[in-house]
Amino acid sequence: MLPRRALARLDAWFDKLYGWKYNPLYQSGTIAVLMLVVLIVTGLYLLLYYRIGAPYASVVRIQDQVWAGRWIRALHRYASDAAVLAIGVHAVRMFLRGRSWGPRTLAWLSGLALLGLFFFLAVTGFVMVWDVQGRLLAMEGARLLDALPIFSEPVSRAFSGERAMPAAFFFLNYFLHIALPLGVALFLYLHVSRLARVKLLPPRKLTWTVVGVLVLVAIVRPAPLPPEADPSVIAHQVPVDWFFAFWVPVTQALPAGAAWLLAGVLTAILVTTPLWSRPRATERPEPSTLEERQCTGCTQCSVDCPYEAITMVSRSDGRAGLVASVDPDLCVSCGICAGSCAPMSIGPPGRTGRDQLQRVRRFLDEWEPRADRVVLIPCSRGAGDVGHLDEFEGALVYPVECIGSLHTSVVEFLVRGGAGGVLVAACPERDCWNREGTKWARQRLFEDREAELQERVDRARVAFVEAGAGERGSLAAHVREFTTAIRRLIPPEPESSVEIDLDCDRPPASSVLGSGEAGP
Amino acid sequence: MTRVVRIAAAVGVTLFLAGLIALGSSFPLPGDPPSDGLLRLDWRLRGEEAGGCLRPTAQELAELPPHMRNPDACVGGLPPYRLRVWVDGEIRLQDTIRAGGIRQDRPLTVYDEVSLTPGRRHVRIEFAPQDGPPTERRPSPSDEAGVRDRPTVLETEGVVEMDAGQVVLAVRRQDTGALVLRPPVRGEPSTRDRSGVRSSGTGLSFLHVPHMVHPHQPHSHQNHGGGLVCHPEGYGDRQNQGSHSQ
Ligand code: HEM
Ligand code: SF4
Ligand code: SF4
Repeated sequence: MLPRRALARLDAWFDKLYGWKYNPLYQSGTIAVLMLVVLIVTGLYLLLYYRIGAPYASVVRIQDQVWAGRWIRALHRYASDAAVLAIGVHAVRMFLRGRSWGPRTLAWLSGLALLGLFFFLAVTGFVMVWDVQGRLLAMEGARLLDALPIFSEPVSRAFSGERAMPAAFFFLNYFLHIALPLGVALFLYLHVSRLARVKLLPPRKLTWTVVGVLVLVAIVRPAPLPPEADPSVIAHQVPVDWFFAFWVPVTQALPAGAAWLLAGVLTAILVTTPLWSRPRATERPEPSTLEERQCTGCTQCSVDCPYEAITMVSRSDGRAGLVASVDPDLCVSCGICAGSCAPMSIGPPGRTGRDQLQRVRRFLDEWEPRADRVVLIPCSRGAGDVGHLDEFEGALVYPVECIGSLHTSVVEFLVRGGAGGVLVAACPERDCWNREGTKWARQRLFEDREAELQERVDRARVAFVEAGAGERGSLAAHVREFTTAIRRLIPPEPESSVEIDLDCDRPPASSVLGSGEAGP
Repeated sequence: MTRVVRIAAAVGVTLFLAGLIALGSSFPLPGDPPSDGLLRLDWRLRGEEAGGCLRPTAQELAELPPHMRNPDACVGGLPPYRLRVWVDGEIRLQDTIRAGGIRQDRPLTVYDEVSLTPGRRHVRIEFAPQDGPPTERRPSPSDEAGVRDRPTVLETEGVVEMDAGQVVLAVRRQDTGALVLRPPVRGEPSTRDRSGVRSSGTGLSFLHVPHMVHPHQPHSHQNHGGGLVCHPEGYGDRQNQGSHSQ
């Protein structure tokens, strides 16, 4: 799909410039939160000077404060623009990366509510100033409202100029501008409520860079203050904030009914996205299941699950202790629990550790890796988009659905089964489809995180790289470099029988390479 | 890409995004300056003014619980009104205005706009019951001689001289209820004149003869101005002497 490929390209380009950690595209959700924080801080200052009885005059007063008010007002404006830009990028990313359905539906819908609320909040902010832009937004909003059979009198009458704008109007608007952030906070809580270990703010360096750049712009080019609202002239060429007023020329060109129809169709498309963007029923991955008999109750899967879909409950088989339990409504079928379970008792059907052992055994039988050859294990959703290939740059390709679902035993099997080396290629950490797959996989391979790669595996033959879907070139370079490196090593002796521990805490079970058995 | 080039590109992209925000946050809407002026009609007529509103009889009132006995309440819908606007003798707007609310018992509201080519324009507005005075009438127990049940007819005419892009209002005076042509009120709530009548200082010239007609009370037809009144500041008391009898 073209937009998907374009996004992958853009991601790759931004990765190159900023590095994956500070890539603003990956961090668009956290940048949006950061902007909300900036808006609250700057908004508190502005509220000190804002007067309901003299809205425009009070903003003129703020604008006249050269050392504080002027740039703080500009920062407030630019932060809201940056927020809506970030929210837009974040939403488009979520959609193009296929994260808009299934158990993510709550995040999608609450995200839409956040977007709507934030938009409305911003419009009340513009109306507060009561300049030509504020009046334009209010009047166009009123015109649209008047087309609905809600009010017995046209709302537009309030803006006709028949009398001075009543203070009650500005009070209501002011109240909304202060109350709506509470709604935003509530929906933000809902938005991330199903995620474990949510990072709400960008890394510190990025935080200060974004804030610093916006402050700089606010000082160098303070937000202009257009003329006061004037009902005695027909406003034209009104200077507007296009991030929030882009719809005005569209609705102005349409009869109010058609504008509502358009808005209704767009809303319906967005709200039903979780339905029409999901794969067909037969292709939809199933939630994880558990083989209770094999679960030792170590809790690692419930710690690693990025969606808090696993809780530890009392065993039902009469034995003492706890056992993992998956809530199928929360499980996105990422498979990360399969990678975190040493005894291989949990995971989406067909992708548990035991299933993975079966698969790698078939792979070894089919391809018979050689000591001078690398096996590349890419995430099929990213990592250079090479998951559909059999070979890439001379390496055999063994794709997995998420690198976090890869059981380290697979790597052990490959190395001890004769592969010269195994290159694990994950998506950039902030771009993992399942949020934490990259992080956990790296820690399991190199930092002894539970379900770790066993010590007996030669680490010189295992490497880990991060590459986005659009970074095939850099992945190719990594493969070549790694292949050269392993060719310099003394060729390993392939083992005819590889024993793998299948328990967190003994007693061990074993699987024998080539035996056709996958454990007990 | 060398490190220096990469950093330069990153800084460039950052500045581009910042510039995009600064520029996009205040950029004029497209569009040509308006070639015409605008006459904005904005008023409402309450049920008791619109006449045909049927009031509860004394017996109907007695049947209601005490807290619901409102002799001025309207029972049933209000009659539709016809709105007509002529500019330089040519009819420019003709509409039937029905009362608001599901039962059409809310006030009649007029909110509309008519474009006016710049220059001196003779404007005439008429707002009267569509089917003439209603035949069925029930005097309110609280009314004297049922005076309040006569439908009000609003009329005004005058000459306005305006530039392209200017707005003139046709509204009702707050004190007399007469329909008048005047410039809109600018300004903030704190600077509001309590009467709601304030000079805009736009330099709009008004030459008009506003008056209001009540068919059953000949006095209300009076045209106190007696001719064209010129008010560079907008309007004055002389223009607003059309009477509204209640
Ligand atoms: C004020 C607006 C918004 C803010 C501050 C915001 C922020 C965030 C944050 C911080 C996350 C967690 C990311 C992570 O840790 O993986 C997230 C997740 C998500 N957001 Fe938003 N978001 C906003 C609006 C939206 C909108 C408009 C949409 C789409 C319509 C959306 C869709 C999603 C989805 C689907 C996820 C869940 C991803 C997953 O489950 O893997 N968000 N958002
Ligand atoms: S597959 Fe496992 S780790 Fe992933 S969401 Fe489901 S239960 Fe959690
Ligand atoms: S990681 Fe495996 S053994 Fe440990 S609690 Fe989860 S399912 Fe049970």
